[in-house]
Amino acid sequence: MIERLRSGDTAAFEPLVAPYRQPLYGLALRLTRNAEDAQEVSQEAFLRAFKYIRRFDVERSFKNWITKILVHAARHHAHKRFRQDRLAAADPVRERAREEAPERPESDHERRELRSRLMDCLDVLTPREREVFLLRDVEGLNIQETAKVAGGSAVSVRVHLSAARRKIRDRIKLRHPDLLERIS
Amino acid sequence: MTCRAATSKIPLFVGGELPASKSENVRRHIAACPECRAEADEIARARLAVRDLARAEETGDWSPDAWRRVISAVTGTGIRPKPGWAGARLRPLLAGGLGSLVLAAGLLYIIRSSRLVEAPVAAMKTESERAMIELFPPAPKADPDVTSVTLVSPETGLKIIWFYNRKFEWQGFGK
Repeated sequence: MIERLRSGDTAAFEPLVAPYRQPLYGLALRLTRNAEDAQEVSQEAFLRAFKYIRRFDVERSFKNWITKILVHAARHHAHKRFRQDRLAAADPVRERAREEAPERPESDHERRELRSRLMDCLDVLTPREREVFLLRDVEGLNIQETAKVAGGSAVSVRVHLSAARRKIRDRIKLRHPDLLERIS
Repeated sequence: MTCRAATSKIPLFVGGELPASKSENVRRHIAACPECRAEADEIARARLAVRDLARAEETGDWSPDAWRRVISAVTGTGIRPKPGWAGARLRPLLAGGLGSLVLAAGLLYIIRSSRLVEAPVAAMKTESERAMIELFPPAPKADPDVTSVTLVSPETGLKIIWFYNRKFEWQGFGK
């Protein structure tokens, strides 16, 4: 499929990325904490993957490659969002419009509750800790893969992972002790 | 292994990321230490709890329409060609050369600006200050080859220092 795409058959792109569309969107949602941003970030990741497919080394994992693109896109988006938010804070009209923007309707109350608790746990982490925690403990990548995808050394990943797990334990103990009791 | 050493390793121990020898040390320690065992148990359960939450959350998926729009928007753009031999080989060299140039320019700027700070001081001196400098030139900077002789008047307390170079030639004096 990659060879077909590289030779110019753009129809090969959709079946190539379709298996990853949902996991990547999920990861983007947890990294950005916002459905709209998650869609933008995943779209950007697909766009970059398509553009640079000729640079992909077929000896490596396509999933890890596209996940790395997504993590970088999310990081870039966070910087952009930070600048926009600073501008919005200086503009009371834009700020009010943001505040009044309706939330996306969530049909399932339980799902909303789960998301809120998950986000509450992840909120205590720094962006870097969040990245390594999600990649290692939620996505199941090993330390070396996490280091390649998130950038940095395996030692740095271990340090951030260790801090993240400790912070999450503290948050769960403080705010969601029932979650600990559920795990036997 | 002390509790302090074990505690720092517990978050990685529960995820199986420690090398075998360290992991064995931590395992032996927590088998004997109830506090560290409780700590390891909590961190392990918190890790699993978040993973289970994430799996149960069901983040949703693109609607068929949205997905079609994304794919057509993406495939509407062109694929970038892979950089050729020259591009792949020369790009790091060019980047290195440019980086060195920027570094050299920065160093040059720092050196020039530090000289500029010293140079205008003399021009800024007033007439009377220049006369004073001629009469009482500033003491040479500390140099291990400079010898000085200090004369102190016991009546007035006036102190004069004579400076000589390595050949014991008089260089100047200070007060």
